[in-house]
Amino acid sequence: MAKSGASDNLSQNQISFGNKLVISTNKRLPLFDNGAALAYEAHSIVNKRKKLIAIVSGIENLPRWTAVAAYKNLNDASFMHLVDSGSVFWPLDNTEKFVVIYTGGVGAPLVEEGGFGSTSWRHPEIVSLFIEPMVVMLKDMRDKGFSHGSIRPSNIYCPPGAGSNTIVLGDGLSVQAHSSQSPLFLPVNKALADPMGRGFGTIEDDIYAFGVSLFLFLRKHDEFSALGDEEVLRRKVEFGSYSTLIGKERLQASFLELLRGVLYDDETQRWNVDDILSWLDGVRLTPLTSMKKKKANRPLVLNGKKYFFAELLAVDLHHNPGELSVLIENGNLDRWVRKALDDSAMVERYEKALEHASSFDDASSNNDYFVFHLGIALNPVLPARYKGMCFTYDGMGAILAKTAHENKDMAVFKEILNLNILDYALVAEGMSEAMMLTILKQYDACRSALIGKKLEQGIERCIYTLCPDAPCFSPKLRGYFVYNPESTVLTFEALCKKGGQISLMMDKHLLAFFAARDSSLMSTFLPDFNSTEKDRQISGNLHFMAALQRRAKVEALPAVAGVFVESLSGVYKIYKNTVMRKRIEENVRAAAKAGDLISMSALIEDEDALLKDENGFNIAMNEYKLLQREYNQYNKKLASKKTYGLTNGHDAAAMVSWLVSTVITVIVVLAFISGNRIF
Amino acid sequence: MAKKKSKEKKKKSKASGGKMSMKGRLFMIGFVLLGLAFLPTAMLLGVGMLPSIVALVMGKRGNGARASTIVAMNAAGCIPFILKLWAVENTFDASMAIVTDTQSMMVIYVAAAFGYMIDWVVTGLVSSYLYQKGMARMNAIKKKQEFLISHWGDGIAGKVGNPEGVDDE
Repeated sequence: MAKSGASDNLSQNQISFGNKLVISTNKRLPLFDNGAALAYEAHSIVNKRKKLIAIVSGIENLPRWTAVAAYKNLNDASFMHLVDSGSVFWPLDNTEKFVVIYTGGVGAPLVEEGGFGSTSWRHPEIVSLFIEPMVVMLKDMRDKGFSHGSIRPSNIYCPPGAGSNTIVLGDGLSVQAHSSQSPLFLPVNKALADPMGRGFGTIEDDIYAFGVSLFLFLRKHDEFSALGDEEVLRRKVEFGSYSTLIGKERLQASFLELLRGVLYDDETQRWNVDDILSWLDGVRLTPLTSMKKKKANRPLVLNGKKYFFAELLAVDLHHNPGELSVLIENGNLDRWVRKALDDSAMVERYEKALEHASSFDDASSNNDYFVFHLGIALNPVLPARYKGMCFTYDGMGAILAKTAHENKDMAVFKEILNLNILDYALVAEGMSEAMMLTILKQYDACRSALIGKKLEQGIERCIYTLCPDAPCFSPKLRGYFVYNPESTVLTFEALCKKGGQISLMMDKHLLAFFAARDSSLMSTFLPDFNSTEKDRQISGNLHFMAALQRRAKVEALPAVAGVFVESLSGVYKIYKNTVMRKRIEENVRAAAKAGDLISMSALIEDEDALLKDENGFNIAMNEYKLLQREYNQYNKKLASKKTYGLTNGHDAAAMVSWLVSTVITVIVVLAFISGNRIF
Repeated sequence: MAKKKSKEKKKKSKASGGKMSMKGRLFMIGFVLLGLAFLPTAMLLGVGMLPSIVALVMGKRGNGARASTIVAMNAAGCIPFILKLWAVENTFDASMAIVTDTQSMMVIYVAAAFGYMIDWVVTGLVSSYLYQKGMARMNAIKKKQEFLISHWGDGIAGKVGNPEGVDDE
């Protein structure tokens, strides 16, 4: 809704994006696809010759709209230039999608998607043509806090034209980080996770993907075409990434040093950007030794396979939980871990796992919980696996978001949070304590939200807390891609135009979404939303929508205003003076006609006017009370008509009498003095 | 403290047994002595002011206004005969002649009756006027209250149960 503009001059196969761009829905650019996000040709209305690439991503891919700002800050010219991004109505699917538009003319990818086995791109000057620009890009990404998540040869382009000596890194915004990556380009802990459960992505993972890409350009033999992803992963777990990839390949010693550094499985020891820059400068770094895994002196048989390494067993634990239970019950697993492996650290972890699993009230019925703990004990590097899902400590949010979008049951995620599975997975990561505490606080907040009764709480809040890229999944907004204030207000404007909307627009999803995204904006309005008074809820909705309109800088929302204005009759009661109330109602109606929610919001709760109104009311109430007191006094006195005013009457009569008496006396005395006798 | 004082006062009044105070007694003695000194005038006033004495005795305590009305007119009725007594012969016989004169006494008592009439008429008029004025004020108050309610709503009269609310009217 947000970027769909007028489309008078467009053909049937064209849609406008904003006011200046047009996307051709019939002109696919498959070379620029990023996983499930499909690329289309686009152009500017001003300059039709300037070709653009529009990568269209559905809500299910959870495009990384939160990373757009960081991407725009990247200075290096080797990134595809971002022209614009936003949601748009996609007529082919009759729904809104997120579109990322880049400048075109970046040439063809170095390798076609999926063609890793037949990589033909070779260049004698690979250092200057590939390594150097990639390292500069990685440095820029590290400095700007951006992780690409889609570095692979098929997403690296070479601009056309002879003499061109640069590469361009393709899209990394249209899908979740690593979700479109083949497991080959990911370290084991990410590759084993579900595509959506691979987390936010880190620069270390990008360095790893760069290393794999570099290896594919350097190698002379193709060993991977025949192997499936699962086999590659098994080898990576068993032998390590470097050994798996290099194998029998003969490469220059200098490249081997670089590859050993960037493909190192331990993320904390993997080469960082500065190490690669030092390598480029010819500095010899301390060589990393390959991590030796402890081999058991006898195998453990599970699911018909013999396991000598605990790390590999951990990967396959979930395949046959029934047989695993037998191994646990007959003590074979226990003996194998304690005696055959002879690894005190692992035994300690194993005992802890047993302890955690037994602390669960009904451990026997939750075999998955035990498998999770056992998996972490045997191989702490692995992602968490629970009830058919596999995710990293930061990857569950995206799976939860996708489940919410698909309207599926989310009970298992509540279980994961309540069983502290994410916490255990995080602790196994071995990151810095400060960082870990921040994330643990987030998990605690989610658990509080699960038991909270407020509107902005519940599992909905967990979705938006754990998955920053999740757009709002409110049932009201089905078919719309709502991710920021602008898309929210414009979507509601469209819905209100269709009719059937009520003024209580914010539901649990919307409240949780904004509470997680912009808590400072939301906190002011939450008491209104959680109020039991309907009028207060309505005014809260209006105030919040007005705040969104202000943020979005959208001038007029007449349809939304129209819905509100019809339900504000109770809200005006906040003003006690009926004259003022009527005047404000008229002003609100005028503002509603102009679609100005901000003015409407200000009018219904004008602090100065409210203060005056309150003061006036207090004065009037006192006056009323005084009048009532006087009335009651009169009422009491006048109750007996016969006696009322008698005292005053007698006093008046006495005055009259004395007056008359004085007059008579004076006359008599004067008459007596003058000799005229009356009697 | 205040209660104690009022109790003490009550005790004192009970102890005196409703007898006249010293000041009253002195005033009474002086009055009697003055009456004896001016016996003819005193006798005339004693008989002529009988309606006033009756009014003073019969009148409710603290409501001396009616008696005052009668006293004033009664006194006005006595004045010409006192002057007559003083001008002719200020003796006991002359005083007795006036007292026993039916016409004279009629004049004095009619004056007193006129005083009673003034009290009856003026009191009626004034109380009626004040009653009407009170009714008018009540109506004005009601109108003003209705105006306030029309401007500020029912909330201004307080909620249900307010002893000063409109419903109490």
